[in-house]
Amino acid sequence: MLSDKAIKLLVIGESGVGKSSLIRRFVENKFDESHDVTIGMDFKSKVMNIDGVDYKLALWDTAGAERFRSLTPSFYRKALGAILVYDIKSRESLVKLESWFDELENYSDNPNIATIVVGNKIDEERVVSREEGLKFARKHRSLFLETSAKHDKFVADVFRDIVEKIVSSGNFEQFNNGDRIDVRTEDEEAAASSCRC
Amino acid sequence: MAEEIDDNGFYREDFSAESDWEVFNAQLGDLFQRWELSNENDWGDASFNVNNTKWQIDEEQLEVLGKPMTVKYYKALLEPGTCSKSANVTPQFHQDLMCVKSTLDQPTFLDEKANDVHYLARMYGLRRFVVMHPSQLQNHYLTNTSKFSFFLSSISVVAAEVCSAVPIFLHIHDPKWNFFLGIGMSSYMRTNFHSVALEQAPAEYLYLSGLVKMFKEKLPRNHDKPAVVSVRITYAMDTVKLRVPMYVPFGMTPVVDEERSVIEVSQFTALPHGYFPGSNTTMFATFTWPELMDNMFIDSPLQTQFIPSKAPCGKLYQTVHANSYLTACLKDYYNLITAKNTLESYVGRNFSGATTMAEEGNPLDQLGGKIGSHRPQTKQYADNTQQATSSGGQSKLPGPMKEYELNPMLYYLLPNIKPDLALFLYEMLSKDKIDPHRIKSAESDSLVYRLSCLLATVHAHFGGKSGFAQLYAAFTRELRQLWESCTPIPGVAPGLPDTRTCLLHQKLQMLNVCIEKRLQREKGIAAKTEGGMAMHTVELVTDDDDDDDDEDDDTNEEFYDLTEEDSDDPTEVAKPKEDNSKNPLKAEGRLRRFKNLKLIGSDEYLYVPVTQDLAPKTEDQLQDASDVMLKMGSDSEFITDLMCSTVVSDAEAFKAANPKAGFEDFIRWFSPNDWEEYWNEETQETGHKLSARMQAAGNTWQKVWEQAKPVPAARQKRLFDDTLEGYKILNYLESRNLGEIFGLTIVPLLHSSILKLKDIFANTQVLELFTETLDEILADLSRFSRDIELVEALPSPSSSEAPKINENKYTLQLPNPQPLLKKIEQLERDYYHYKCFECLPGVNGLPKAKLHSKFCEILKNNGHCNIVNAAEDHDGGVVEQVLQSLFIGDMREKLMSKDYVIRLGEGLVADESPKDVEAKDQQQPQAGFSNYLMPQFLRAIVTGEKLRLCGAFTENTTFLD
Repeated sequence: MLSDKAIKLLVIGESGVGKSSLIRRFVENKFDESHDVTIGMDFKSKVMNIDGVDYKLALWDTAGAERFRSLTPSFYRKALGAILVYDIKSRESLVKLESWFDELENYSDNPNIATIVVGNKIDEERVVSREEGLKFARKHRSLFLETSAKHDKFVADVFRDIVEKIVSSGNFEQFNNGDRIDVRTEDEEAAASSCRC
Repeated sequence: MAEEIDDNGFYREDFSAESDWEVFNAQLGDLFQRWELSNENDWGDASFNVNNTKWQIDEEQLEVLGKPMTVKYYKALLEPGTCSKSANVTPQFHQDLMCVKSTLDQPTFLDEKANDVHYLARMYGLRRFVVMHPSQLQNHYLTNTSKFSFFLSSISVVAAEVCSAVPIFLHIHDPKWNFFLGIGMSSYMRTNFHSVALEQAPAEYLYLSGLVKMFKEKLPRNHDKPAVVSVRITYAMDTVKLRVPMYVPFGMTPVVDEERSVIEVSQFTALPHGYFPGSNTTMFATFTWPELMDNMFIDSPLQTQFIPSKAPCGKLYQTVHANSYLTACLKDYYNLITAKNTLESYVGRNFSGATTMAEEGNPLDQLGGKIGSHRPQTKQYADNTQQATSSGGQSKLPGPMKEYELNPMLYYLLPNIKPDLALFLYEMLSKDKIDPHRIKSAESDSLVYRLSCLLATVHAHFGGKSGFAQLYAAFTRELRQLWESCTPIPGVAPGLPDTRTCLLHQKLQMLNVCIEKRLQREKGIAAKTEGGMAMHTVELVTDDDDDDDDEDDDTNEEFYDLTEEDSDDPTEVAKPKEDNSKNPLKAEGRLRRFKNLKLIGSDEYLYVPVTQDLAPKTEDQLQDASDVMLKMGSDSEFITDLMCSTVVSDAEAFKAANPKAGFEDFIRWFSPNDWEEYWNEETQETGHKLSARMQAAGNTWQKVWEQAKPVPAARQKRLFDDTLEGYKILNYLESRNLGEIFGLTIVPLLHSSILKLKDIFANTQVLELFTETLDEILADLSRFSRDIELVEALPSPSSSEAPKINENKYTLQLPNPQPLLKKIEQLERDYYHYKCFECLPGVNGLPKAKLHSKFCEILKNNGHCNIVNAAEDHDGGVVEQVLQSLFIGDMREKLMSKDYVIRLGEGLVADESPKDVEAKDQQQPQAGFSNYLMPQFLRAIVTGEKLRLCGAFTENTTFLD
């Protein structure tokens, strides 16, 4: 049953870092510089096959604009993973991810939520070094990737990485079957596999 | 015999002459083949503990002589064996019979255990066996010898045929008597299992000397070796009873404060406690002599050496029978889980005191108008409290509780309806306190807690379902009163609905949000009226840019609520401006200057407008919204419209606050990242421009901006209609059926039960003993609370009767709370157990830490602990010494039973020196038939004058002795 293998993912981060573009590239393989700004919430879905199993990804795109900030926590419910996006041209967008992590910590009902930090726009001149991004990801025991939605670089890997992480962690089973897992060992694993690419 | 070759050489099959016996044998053989009784491998580890082994029981019905026969195959589920080598030499059941551990470890007195472990397993230490008995055992048990031989003969034939490695038993006589006949076959040996019971046995057979004599007489041939004897003597100790009287909040308080030592609470919880009067701990002590030579000890009617102080092993067994009122209350409450009864069926229609639709017209028409245009009739709070408490004001709700019982409960829940009588005020609840276990409930001792506990208590002690319905209905009626009088609900965490809490709490938070909004609005109106202003005009901030800075803080907030983070001082009421009519392009609804930025191409400051709050949502509403999104797809216009309403509202407010502003200004405020810096080649300086996406022709934002008219938030259509939302919630709460109320309250109820236990444990300094269990239960509860799903409810038939405000379409789907209840029950039992343990003479004075570790041993071992063995190993072993000292005096009075197991066979090591064993091991491979010592087994249980014998004697089927 397809619905049993549904995975809810959140895409969060500051306004204009390219959250919607990542999703658009991944789902529709399109890129449009002048795509409409997300208002409130957006939603897309895509089926992803991992090891012969189809998983239905529900991708929740959140608006980065301050005004909608109070809306997002409510959509954290039942999310299995979060993709935290920053813009490598803007250090501020990386720094602000800190508060997004806080929010996740506070509002997610899943203590083992999988996270990936994504530095987007590597097609442009960078301000934030890769090392800074890595350091940040390690601090939060998260996966890390740098991407370009415009040139379609590593976009699919972002989604594949996090879904594989969710599926392999047993967390997914736990959410679907109510089995128990040890939280601590999960975290260690996450730290160990914090970087890739 | 059914197959005969006829003259023509064909096989003819003719079963017409088969006897019943043959038919039965065939069936049995078939069944045994299927069960693979011949399989001698994988029987599990050499030593198995009868106590804590799980059993697999296969059951089959056969028919014989027109009556059903049940055949059961008992199989202990054990870890894969480590000693398969010897298992090949002799059948496993021979080893089982010879094993002290498996035959003597399980005390026979623990009656309730009998259900878990079969009698045969306990008597003979067997790990696999088959039992056969008439299906209707209660009425049609086998009594006559011819029947016995009918079955026994078929058992022996079939067992030999299928090479069964499993002994097979026949249950005879009254099942209560536990009489079994059985046969265990192996290649050339046959073991006969027999039981005998005597009401009054000759005195000599009550002691070891006589029994050994009897055993030797029964042996098939003369064994020169002495038999090995194991002895266990059981004493029944005095039952420990602790009286812990029932306590029921708002009802029964024990007059005598007996329970002080057991239950002491430091925080009031509206849950009962205490233990049922029959609660007790029964205790037995066993002393064991595991393996002795039959001639080493003296045990005869005249003299016995089997006395406790000389025993090498001693154990204390405790069995707790304790039922707590708290657990009983929870279990009772659990029965509501499937209840479909509506509140109306108990308290009648319109119990809420809400005016009906017909009287008021459709409230929906009145709601959702422009802010300020609809002004709910607010009753004065003072009137309201009078109404709520005077019996004349409101009709009494039908139900088993009297007013004087019900009212204190209501004051407990909602202290502010009668502040002078309220005993239990709420502590300040914080907004961002996160439960370490992340249980989706609410803060302890908050309104949701009190309500949940009280409902459970009322359900158990104040008239069951109707009492429950009465209290709940009364509660919702009070809520409606508070709502109408615009009084915030007490005991609810501040802020917007928090999805980390339970749905009921979110609903109440939402109701409070609505009440606060209404309060603020009406306060604004009131202030306005006092200021002599007309009702619906909005105050203005003049557009004088040369005003002092502080002028900018001079805002008009009357008709709205600021977003939480913005409201520095929401109570501030602006002074009416006198010069507001000077400027033709008047700006309205300004909040403050925006970073001192000025409008593009203008000298005017950019002002942040006062905006409407985003609509807060409870979990079910969120679910609804996301369901809609999932259904409609993301690109649908509906979604865009839904999401755009905020932007439209903000754009309108912005235009009103900044009449001269352009689209760029709006973006600078609303989405600063889309106002990009760039290097202007022509002017050689940095400039700003809109991002590509904002420049794109016809993008949503531009459209919105163009269409927006300057309207300050105060005059806009409300995005969040607090009046409607408030009524929705009241309606939601009032329209739940009993099962749904259960679902809303179960998590806080379980949570507070656990916290209450924690409180009790802490007060009696035993918290550390149970911390692990408590944490485990809390973690379970956390998972339970997060596994609760909101599912779309099927429309109930009753809902079609009257159109209600927003039919709620979600219902809670709960995981099964039974395992949690069981754990809580066990925890309470363990606590009682500990308290009884403490009561043993001499025990109470011991150091707590030692006591605790001993008790942990008891818990771990399923209720028993060593009282002899440990003395040498442990430092001091104070606890053991004290426990041992209980058995110093003359114990004959308390003697309950004596178990003697006498045996002979391979694998007994009682008096053999290690050298002998080695020598024997070497011999064994060559050991022929004649060398093998066939297992002989006799168990005698002496209870007073009664004697029960269970024998298993093996004979050689090839060479008869």
